[in-house]
Amino acid sequence: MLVSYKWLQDFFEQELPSPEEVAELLTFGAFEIEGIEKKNDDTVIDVDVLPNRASDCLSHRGIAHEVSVHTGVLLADDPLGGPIPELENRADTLRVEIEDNQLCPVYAAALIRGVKVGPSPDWIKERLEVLGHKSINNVVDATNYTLLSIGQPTHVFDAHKLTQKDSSIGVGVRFAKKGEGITTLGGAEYTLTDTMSVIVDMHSDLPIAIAGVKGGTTAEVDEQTTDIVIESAKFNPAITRRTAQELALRTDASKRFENEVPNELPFYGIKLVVDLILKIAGGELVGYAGNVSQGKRPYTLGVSVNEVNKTLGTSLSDSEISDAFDKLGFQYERIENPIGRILELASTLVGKPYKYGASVSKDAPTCFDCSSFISYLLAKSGIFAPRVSADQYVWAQKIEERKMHPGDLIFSNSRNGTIWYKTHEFIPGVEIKEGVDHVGLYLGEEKVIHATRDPGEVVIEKLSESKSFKNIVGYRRIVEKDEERFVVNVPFNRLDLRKPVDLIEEIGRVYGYKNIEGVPLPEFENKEKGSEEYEKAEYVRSTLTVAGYTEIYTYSLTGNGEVKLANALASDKDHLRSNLSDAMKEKLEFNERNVPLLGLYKGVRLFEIGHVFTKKGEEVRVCIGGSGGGKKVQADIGAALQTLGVHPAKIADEVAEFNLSDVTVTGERQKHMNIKKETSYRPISPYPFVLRDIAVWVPESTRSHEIIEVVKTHTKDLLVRDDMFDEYKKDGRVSYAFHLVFQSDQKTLTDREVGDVMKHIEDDMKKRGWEVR
Amino acid sequence: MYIHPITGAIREIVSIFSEMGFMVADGPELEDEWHNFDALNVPKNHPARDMQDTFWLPDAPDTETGGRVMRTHTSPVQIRWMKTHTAPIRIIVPGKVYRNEATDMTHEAQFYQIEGLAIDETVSLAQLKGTLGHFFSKFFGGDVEIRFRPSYFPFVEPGVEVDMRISGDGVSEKLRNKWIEIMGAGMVHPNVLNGVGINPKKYQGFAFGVGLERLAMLKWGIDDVRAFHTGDLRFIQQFRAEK
Repeated sequence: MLVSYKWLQDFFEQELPSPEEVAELLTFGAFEIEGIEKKNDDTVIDVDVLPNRASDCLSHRGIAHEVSVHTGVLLADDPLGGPIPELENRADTLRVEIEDNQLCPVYAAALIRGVKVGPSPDWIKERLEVLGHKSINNVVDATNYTLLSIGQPTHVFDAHKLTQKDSSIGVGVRFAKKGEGITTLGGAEYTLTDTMSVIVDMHSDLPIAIAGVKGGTTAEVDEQTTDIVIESAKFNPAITRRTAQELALRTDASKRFENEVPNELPFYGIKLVVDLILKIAGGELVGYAGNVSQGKRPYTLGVSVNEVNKTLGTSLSDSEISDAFDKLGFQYERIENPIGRILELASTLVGKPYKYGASVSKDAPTCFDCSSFISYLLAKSGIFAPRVSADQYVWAQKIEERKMHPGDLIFSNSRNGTIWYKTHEFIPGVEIKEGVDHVGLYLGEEKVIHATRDPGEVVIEKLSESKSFKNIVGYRRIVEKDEERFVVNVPFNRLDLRKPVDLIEEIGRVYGYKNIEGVPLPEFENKEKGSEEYEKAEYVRSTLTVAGYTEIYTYSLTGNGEVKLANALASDKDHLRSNLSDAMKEKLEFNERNVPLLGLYKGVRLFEIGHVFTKKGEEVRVCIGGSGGGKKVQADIGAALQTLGVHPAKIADEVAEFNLSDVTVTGERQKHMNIKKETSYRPISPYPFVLRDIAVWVPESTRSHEIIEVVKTHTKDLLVRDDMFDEYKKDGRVSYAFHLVFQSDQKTLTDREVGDVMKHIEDDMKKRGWEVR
Repeated sequence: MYIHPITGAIREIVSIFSEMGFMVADGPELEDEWHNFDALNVPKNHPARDMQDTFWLPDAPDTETGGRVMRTHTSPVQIRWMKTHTAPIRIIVPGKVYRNEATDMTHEAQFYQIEGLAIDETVSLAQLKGTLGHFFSKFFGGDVEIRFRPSYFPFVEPGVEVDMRISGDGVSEKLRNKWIEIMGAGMVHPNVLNGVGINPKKYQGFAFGVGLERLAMLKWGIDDVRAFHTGDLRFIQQFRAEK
């Protein structure tokens, strides 16, 4: 996301560090920075917001907040700082109709009359333009400004272009009809499918926008527009994503919706955009329609100092943790003895009604079932517990009856209704032979508090007298040690914070990963057996390498095979290979062309180990191949097969292919060789090589390398390889013969160029009294 | 005698990690959706599952295991191992992976990855840092600094991007004293442990995954990722075996 440095500065009273320093802070504290660019009198920073942070950080406010976290400077002006705006004055002339809440969980709308559409003030134009957005008019710019400011997409319709009926207008959200067409702003036409959703003019049912993606021309705002309907909603992330993808129409709005907009954000959004329009385009707010904002109990998460340090491998103090939470702007409570708090809270809930399947997030503390009661109590003390009784039974620590303390859990099998014999979500599938369906909290002195069907509320009973606990199956402890916990109210826009470990990550990145000292893993004796397949493959590799074969790796995606892909890069890569032999033959032929360059005058020898895919399934195969004389190759391969204990019937032509599992490991294991130290790669020249042979008589005392030294004084960088292929002594002289391979990495060498070099070499040799043959 | 640089790199890495008690594990390249995505806490509508990122087979999805895919990472092997073994765990997983993307000098539709996983009661982010530092200094030679940057992968939390900087005389000019972005890593997400039957209340661990060709390219100065799979001996013969 492109971020204006000047805009960021507007959120603070104190002066921010330089753009480069801000970028650095973000890089190590939050997000990668793709680039920094000076533009006019501003600097634009390209921030690569992580996908899990889209719900709070695809906006200037979000990035400003991150800057605040890592500088310690508080936001002076936070548009999300106040409570969720209440949209009180309802407009009875504006209606909103949602076909399915799944499509659109939140839709807030506003009606403004009497706006004057015209150019935006310069300060808005500047902000939009520096970020690459064209200024359209004050009303449309206000929506773009809101999106860039807090990340909430909004849209404006011309109210007069909506059908009026019974003195009201309205908008609706529904699935598109198959084949339904729409022309979007800018004039492009799209044909929709019935998995996409649209905003419609309620009384005509005609589409006026592709929901969450782009507005249509039917109700477009223009210079004559005076009355407007403003939309600020939350659309289904999956549907938005699929729609944008299928239409190849990814917009700033769809990007936000597909990553999930927090439920509360549309209310901040509509307030912000309405206020802005009234300020820069005038008009009068008639009122709001659609959903009413509902204050929800915040999601709570808790951690202890020990848990944080155990995961990060640090030794942070409690004050370092509270410092991190303060910087993050989290509201939190430090609960010194969470079990004590659980007991205290529990007794305040006596009499709350029982409701089977009550939700912890939505129903508590209004009503409970037995396990939601426990789950709620624990959550309030910052202990993250599973939701159902069977899972709680396995999750908590087993204790004996005689060791029971107040704050322990008692589980029973009431033999009535649904009894759990397996865990559900916590380590799913763990068997519970004794069966569990009920749980209560022990209060001490033989008393238990629990939410129960009979008499249908939260009650305190004597254990011995409780019908629910006639058949106790076990006793459990919630935490080993009742230690202090930090219980955080997760901010509404942090949809990524749902598990205690998410809080630990927050602490880690605010504390600074650079401050975490690396330490080694403790010594460990691994009692497991590693992959036999790998061991065997290594045995084959070493054996064949010593026998003169070179390993190759080839592509698994080919043009033919027994298994086809649904989606392929190209028609020559739309199958999975069903053998290694085809590629082997091709590579033998390919390398055969380069024999002089490779010095493999006696033939190429290759092998590959890899997965193949046939109708039967996936197999690991070995393939051996050779070139340069059929009989010799067959004999060589036969010998190799014998060493590997594979039946020679596997040889076909000059290639043998067999399953890795056919190999028998015998005798001493080869020591696996490594690549030489100081190996450094040189790119392969794309130009052809030229082969020349030279044979020369020299005195018997002359060594072969002396010949090559003479050769090299004339060849510069062009001699890429020399191989001696003959040595013959006679009458006090010796004849050496070499293959000389010439190649340039700059150009194609001509015959004449090489001929000239050869002539220089021969002349030099003759001068030395050597006889060139 | 020559050693293919993929084999050479895997061999050195495996040897460094086996000294730290890691065992080699393997698994199929043709995976099911459950092992490749669901078990790794990848949400159902995550973009990684799209046709433009992943190779799918045309068969109808199985109700339990979903569709079939060419594995997009070696991480499904973590799942297979954890489902059949108990903690503590230390494994290293070399293997071929597939991505539906166009090829160029630094991208391939198939490449090798090497994955590490350590699970125990106290395995920590600090131990991840220490382990990676040790690994890189052994693999590249020289003194290695490691730094973490916040990142996001659904199967780890916290998730980090790992950079390294090597100093020392024996280090090539190209590598020396430069921060290089090298891999993704993090603490195994409790959802992943929970799903494979390892008690997330008792056990925790780290995981990392690194592109093998990329490591080899840095180590030996190879400029084109496509060279690894050509079977061209002009390439492979540059990697002589140490006798």
